[in-house]
Amino acid sequence: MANRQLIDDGTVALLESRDLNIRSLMAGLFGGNRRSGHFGSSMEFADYRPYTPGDDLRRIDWKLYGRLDQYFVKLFTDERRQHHRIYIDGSASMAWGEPEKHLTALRLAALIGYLAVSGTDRVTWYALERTACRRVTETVSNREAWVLGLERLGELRCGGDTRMDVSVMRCTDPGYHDGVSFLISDFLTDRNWKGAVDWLLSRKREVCLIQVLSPDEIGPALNGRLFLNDTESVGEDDERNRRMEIGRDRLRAYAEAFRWLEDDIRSFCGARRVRFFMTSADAPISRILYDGAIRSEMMQ
Amino acid sequence: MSFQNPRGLWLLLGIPVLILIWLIRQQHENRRVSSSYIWRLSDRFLKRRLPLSRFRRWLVFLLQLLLVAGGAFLAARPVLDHGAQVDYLIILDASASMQTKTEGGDTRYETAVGMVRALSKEVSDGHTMSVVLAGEQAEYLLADASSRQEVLSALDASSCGWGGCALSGAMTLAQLFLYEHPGAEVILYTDQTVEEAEEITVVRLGGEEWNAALTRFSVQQDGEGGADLTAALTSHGQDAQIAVGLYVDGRLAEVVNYACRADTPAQVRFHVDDLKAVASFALAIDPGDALAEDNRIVYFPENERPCDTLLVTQTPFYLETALDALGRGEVRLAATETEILPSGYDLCVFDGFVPDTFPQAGAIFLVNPPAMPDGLTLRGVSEEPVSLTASAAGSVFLDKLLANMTLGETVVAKHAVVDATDDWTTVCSAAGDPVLLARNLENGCALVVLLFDLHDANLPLQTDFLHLLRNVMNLATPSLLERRILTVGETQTVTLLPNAAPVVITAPDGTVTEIGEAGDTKLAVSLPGAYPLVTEDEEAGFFAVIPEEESAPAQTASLTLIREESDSKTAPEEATEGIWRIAALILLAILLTEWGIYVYEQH
Repeated sequence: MANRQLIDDGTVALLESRDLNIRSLMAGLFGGNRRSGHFGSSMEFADYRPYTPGDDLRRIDWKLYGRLDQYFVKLFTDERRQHHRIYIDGSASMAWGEPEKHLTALRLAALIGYLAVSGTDRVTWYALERTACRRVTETVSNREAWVLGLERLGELRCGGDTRMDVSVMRCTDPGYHDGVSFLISDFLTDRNWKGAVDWLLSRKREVCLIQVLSPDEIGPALNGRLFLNDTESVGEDDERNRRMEIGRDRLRAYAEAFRWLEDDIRSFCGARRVRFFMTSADAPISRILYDGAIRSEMMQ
Repeated sequence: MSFQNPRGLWLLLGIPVLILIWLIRQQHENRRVSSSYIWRLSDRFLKRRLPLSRFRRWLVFLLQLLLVAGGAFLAARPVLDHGAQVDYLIILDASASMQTKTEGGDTRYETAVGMVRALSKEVSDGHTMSVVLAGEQAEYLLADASSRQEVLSALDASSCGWGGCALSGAMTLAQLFLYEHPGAEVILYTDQTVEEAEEITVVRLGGEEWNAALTRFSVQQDGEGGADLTAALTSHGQDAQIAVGLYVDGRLAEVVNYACRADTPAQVRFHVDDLKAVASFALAIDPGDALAEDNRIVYFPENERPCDTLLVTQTPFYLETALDALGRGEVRLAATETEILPSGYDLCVFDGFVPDTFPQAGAIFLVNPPAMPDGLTLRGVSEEPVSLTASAAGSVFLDKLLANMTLGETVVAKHAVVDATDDWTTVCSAAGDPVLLARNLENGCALVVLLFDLHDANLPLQTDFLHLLRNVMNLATPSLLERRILTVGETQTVTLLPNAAPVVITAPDGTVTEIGEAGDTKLAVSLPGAYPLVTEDEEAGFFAVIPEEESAPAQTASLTLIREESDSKTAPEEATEGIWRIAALILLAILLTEWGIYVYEQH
């Protein structure tokens, strides 16, 4: 059954009646149950077209020929198997919070993977580490492989400063028009993560962003004269480290900056039809699913 | 600027502590965060601040420093020495010891005056100066002088006395001065050693000079016309070999050397065979010490005045014999009053008899009166033999009537028991009952009553009887001078009998005083030395010595003045109050600025 470290049976039970919400018709491998933009050999009727030489005679609608005295060929929708890719931010900042944001990210990645294989799709997990994009497991296409993949997911560790745009672009098999790319991160970086999203979109992939934050990032409880040491900084002289006097005014400014950041991500995503939701790392997984994934139409 | 409470400046140590705390607080606590991204992003949302608010921490810090420094400043009670008016009260010890010459040749008093002269330079800078002379009495020489010339003139006109030092009186004046001038500075110039002084600055002058003194002079007559002259010779400050000379009528008669230990009086004794044959005796030393006025004592022997006496008695034996023996003039004996009118006598003695009317002059001596005069009520007669005892001293009658009497073995076998009104003075008692009483009559006569028969007591057999009669005679014909030796500052009483010739008194400084009015004339004695008297009948005189304690500087335990805290130093307080107001305004401005910044940031 499911890996106990990341996901339990109850959570899996929540997903039994759920599926990933794929907006566009995509290409993919044959044998899936996702409708493709192409006409194929499924049982679902799609349209007619005039017969042209070379068409399979078995697809000619003879009843229509009887009425209209013209040959029309019946067209059926094509159902393809999608290949979803889940990119997990492995930067040092993800190893923060109680529970760690990274753990929540892995749980979400596991759940998305479960939904994918439940829908006969395939899924691949990638860890974004510094400027690299490391495949965590081989492509998972069924539940047995998913269970095995969870163990590999559980072994992921965080560290360093991730260049999301570079590392995503270095992915050896990012796919093209064949599924959804999930990007799970805290997005607390001034690196060009938006470049990664645009690059994935350029490959005609649907993109979903999940922002995982710790409670003290949503509402910090700092006070006094502090030297803020960024977990991803290199040495004390790193520009990301900052001496700061935190008081009432600074906390108010932080709240405004936080709202601005969320608005910026939402407006960016909205302009590109990228789905997005933000969750707290300490939120129950059921709440993440319903208030985040379903409300953002990432899941149905 | 000076500080009344310099210990308050210890509060300034709070400033480095405050700085240390501030520096520590300036340290940034290292805090690891997942990402500083939003924190950095918050910079652009931080509200625009007033330029002043950037220095708010500095302002708060400076405010704290100001508070600490201000608190220390106020606790130290600053006094502005310049620019503000300070009232000086100078107390000059003007006692005889201040006439002691110092090594520089000046007296201690002159040295003190010189120091006050130097201090008087500040009077022209807006200060005022008052000077109190603490001589025999404490009195203002100068009050609230605001010009130096005024001070100098007063000092030039001042002189040091030869009496004691009324230091307590001066301190009372100083305390009153402090009440009126709470910021005043009180300075005492004295040769006394003051162990502890509070709110008063003591400037001690001299004290190391050597001085030898003759004091405690007394004359003890031997009953044979001679007398022992005694005095105490003290060498203050060092051991010394001192020669004491006895001068008879101005001529050196005898010299005795005395080895004196420092500060230990030596007894000086000379014997004179015939006291009445000499006009004056003098004891003198000449050691070349710092103070000469205590080196000589002159004694003018007293010549008793004649006393015409009327004796009315049935049993004249004792009284007549004694009166004749005294040789003080004519004694008229009468059996009853009617035989001789009791007038024209200095003394009337009625033994076992009371006249209908008392004489109008002189003195009256009633012995064993059959009827009690006014004020005395007979209660009975005590026949139990009891001793005669003198009453406690304190009355003029006691001093005069008991002079030279011992009353050692006087026993009274029988005496009248009376109740006396308050105007009677009990001179002697027998078993608690007054037996010798005296009072002044309305006409000025002295009335002396002896309440037992001379035959019922052993008094007539003793020398005390002669002394008593002499004393009664002296009461009738008092001596020209009350005392022969007295101390500077005391008052001499010169008693001139009616129709007597005027008395001319020459003071040591040559001042001549003539007294012609009959009765008692009080004469203040302010200079040490001999005061010879010249009358038509006799030559006499008296001698004034300086107070014994002036021969050596005294020691005073403590001098304390109370300065009211609330009104502390009027003039400096005004300056302090001005500074305080400015500081308060600055602090108020800082606080308002802080409040303004707060309101601005809130909205």
